[in-house]
Amino acid sequence: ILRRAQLNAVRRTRPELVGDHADLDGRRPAFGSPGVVGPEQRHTDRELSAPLDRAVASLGAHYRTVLLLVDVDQLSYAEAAEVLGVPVGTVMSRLSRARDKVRRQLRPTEGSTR
Amino acid sequence: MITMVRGMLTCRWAARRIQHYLDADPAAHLDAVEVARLEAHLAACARCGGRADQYRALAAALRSWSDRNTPDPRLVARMHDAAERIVAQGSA
Repeated sequence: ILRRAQLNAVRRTRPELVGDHADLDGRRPAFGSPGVVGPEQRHTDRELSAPLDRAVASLGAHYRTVLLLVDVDQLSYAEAAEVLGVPVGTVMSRLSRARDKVRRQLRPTEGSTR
Repeated sequence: MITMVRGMLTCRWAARRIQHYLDADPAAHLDAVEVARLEAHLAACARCGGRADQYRALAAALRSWSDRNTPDPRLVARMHDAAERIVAQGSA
């Protein structure tokens, strides 16, 4: 959580840094610009949320961290690599595997190949 | 037989690139030829196109994941206090 609070300062979708932390009082952390979420997507989000939470929680720590940094906190591959102190290639392979694990858990009826 | 194998190779080729295509991250650039070939395959192949849709749905659900998983505000307040103490020590 502390790492994520630090990461707010480097997120690529956040152009301004927080000058005074007192400004943050009472504000929810802004992970990702919400944009406009259509009713279909909101429905999908609700349908997916509990199984998604379970699938994310079931990931190994390395996979979960990369998935959260890139897909929740919206860091680029390079930013995530810098934060984690690993090569970009490592971020890409962990991210790909994490997404596939979650995707397969959410869609168990898909065909046999990866 | 050859057609089937060629089709499988294309799905394999596409599978390795779908996520990079959807992410459009500068560290994993796809050139225009690859993008065109991939988009054509996704439009023509139900399995790969369906998989791309799954990745998109997953990405969208994860973008709003933190809306449903915010930390305890008391914990956040304690962290702010700790951060302020650290900053105060640094500037002392």
